[in-house]
Amino acid sequence: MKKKIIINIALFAVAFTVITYVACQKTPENDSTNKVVKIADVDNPVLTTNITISSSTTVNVSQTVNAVFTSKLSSKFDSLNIDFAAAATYLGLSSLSKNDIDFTNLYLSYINGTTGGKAILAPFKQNSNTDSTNYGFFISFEQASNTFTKPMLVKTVLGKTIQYIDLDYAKGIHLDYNGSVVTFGIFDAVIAQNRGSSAGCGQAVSDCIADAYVNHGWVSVWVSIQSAFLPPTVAAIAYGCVVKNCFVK
Amino acid sequence: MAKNIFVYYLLIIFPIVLLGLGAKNGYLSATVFTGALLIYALIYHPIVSGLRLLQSGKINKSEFWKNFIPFWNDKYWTFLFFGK
Repeated sequence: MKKKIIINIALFAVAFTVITYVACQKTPENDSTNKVVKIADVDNPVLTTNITISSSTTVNVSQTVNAVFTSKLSSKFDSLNIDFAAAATYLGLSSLSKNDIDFTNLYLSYINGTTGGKAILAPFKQNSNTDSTNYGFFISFEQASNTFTKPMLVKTVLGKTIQYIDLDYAKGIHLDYNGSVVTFGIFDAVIAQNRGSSAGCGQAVSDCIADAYVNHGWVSVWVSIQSAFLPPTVAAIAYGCVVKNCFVK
Repeated sequence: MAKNIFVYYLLIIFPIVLLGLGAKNGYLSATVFTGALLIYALIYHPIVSGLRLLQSGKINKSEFWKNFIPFWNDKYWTFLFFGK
């Protein structure tokens, strides 16, 4: 009897320890969201194209190479704390890492005649003109406040779909278009934990628990099975996630 | 019904597999998943285990509530999962 209880408590402790180390990386303290980037840094295009959408609106698309801006965009990407395995699965890639993104060859787009935000796209190195499927890291640059907002990973399938992963809110957005029919869906893909302080540790704990059961391969399988045989495992994981997200600095 | 060990396995494993698949495929948000998981662990699992013990004559009705105490039914763990 005592042996069984000791074994069960040991399994409880192991679940707590593993989850503390494996699940949900904590958001880095040094978020570079508010780093100042002068727009002049990116106004050095090597190629500029104007696309007229309507008689009154023309979108300017520029390709730029700028070491300072590349470095700042790369730092911003690092601060996002992305679950690359989950993002790769959502986008249909076998793997994904920062090295897959070409931060040295950026595309800027903005509506001519406006002083608002600029959309910046860092393409994936694997992209090519002959493929119908292409990927990119997208972020918006707000000129007025000198800040980056709305970081997203984007997948486009020519003439078929556009998929976004909103890296601030861990949401996957899927747009299918077939002629005039557009299907729109949002999926909580549990891909990034960079929700900022406004989300609080409660949301982070929820994300961490879901992450433990879903995004860690055989560890997730083990945790699920152990939870079925020993329900207090759920409490161990919840406790581990609370400690990791609410108390550990 | 939970007296049958296969039915018991089905009753305790099926919901957790369903929850995992739901979250993995984006049908459940992290918050809903966590809430459902806590209901599973703190309410559903003790009820199913308690019913199996009750129907098998291992405990009487007055002891049923004790299944909600973590680790209390560990003494019946071998019976619950292996029928011995």
